[in-house]
Amino acid sequence: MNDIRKSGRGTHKQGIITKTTRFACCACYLVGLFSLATGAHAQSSNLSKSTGTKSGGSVPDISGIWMSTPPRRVGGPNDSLLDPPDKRKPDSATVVPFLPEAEGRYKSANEADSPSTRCLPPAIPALMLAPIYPMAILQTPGQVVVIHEFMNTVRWIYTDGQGHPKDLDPTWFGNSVGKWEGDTLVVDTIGFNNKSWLDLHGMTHSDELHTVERFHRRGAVLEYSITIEDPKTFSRPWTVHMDYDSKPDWKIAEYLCAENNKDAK
Amino acid sequence: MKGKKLISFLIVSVSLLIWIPAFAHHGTATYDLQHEVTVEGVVKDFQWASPHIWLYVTVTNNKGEIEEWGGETGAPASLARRGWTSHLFKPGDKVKMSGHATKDGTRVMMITKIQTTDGKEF
Repeated sequence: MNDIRKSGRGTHKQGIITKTTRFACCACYLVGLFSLATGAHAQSSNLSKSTGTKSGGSVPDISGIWMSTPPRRVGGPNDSLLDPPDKRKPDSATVVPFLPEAEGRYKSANEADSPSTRCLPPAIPALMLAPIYPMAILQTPGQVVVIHEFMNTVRWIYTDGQGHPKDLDPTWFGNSVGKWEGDTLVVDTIGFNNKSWLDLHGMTHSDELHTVERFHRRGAVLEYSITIEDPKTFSRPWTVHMDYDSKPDWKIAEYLCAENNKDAK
Repeated sequence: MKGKKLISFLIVSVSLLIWIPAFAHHGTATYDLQHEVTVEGVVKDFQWASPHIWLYVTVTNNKGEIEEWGGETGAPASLARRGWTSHLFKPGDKVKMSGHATKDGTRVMMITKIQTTDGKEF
């Protein structure tokens, strides 16, 4: 008998006792969503101020543990969902403004080729919009650090006014600089490599990817948006919105992807 | 109007639920999401590790042959928040494991539910 623990995939077809409908599957997932939602009570919290600049200026405090609360909405007043019902991929015709060639690549992409199947990190949009893992935000004078449970990844956002370096070597998370516009932290990121995916379904990008993120705390809710621009992939910039709930009692758990990854090719 | 809103809410909720497990590490394209299968047997191994927890079950099929099924589910980090622990299952436990099997017919599934003989469901 094959030891499928070694490959994660066996080679035979039998042993099926019962088959149920997709409805049963959805119902099971529904239980899962409400299980997640059960622990998502927003705490009451006043906007506190934190010393977040090197000059000692007072800025809003967005530190803490945050858990995303989908849906992920695309657009403006008439938002549409990034994940429409019964579709594995976003509706590229109405939601994601692909250039024709990029849309073709997206539609023909094989999910098994996703860098994250090899435990490489997702691009910032996918990382920030991950719906089932929390993130921790730490604020210090001159920098904001975002620690994601998903893939044990860390992002550094420089808020000391240094700006982007003139000559950037491309990296997975690029170079992020932030500034406060009123009570909103605006983060500008460039310098990405072209290796990551913007989702798990094949949304690739070029090294001209540019993102602008906005973090705004409203009590126990962190309002977040990310504008994605890449003239080699999209016909125009597009924006995804999503909120996070404060989770003051949570801890960021260990997630070592390479420990038991059976999907690596 | 209220009815329409409720229907929209349910549709959105279901769609999100379908998407949520998919995001965990890889997509779901290898699995047949239109159908669910259930196998009943004895736990051979329970691997509490990232990126996915795996449960291996030894099953006797209708022909009396021994098969081994593997099922993957979420990461320890997320399932621990839902009450799972590293000793939730141990070798020898009798379980029913349900999920979406791979499209290529291998004995692997994306788990949707695990039932134990004492009536508990995970």
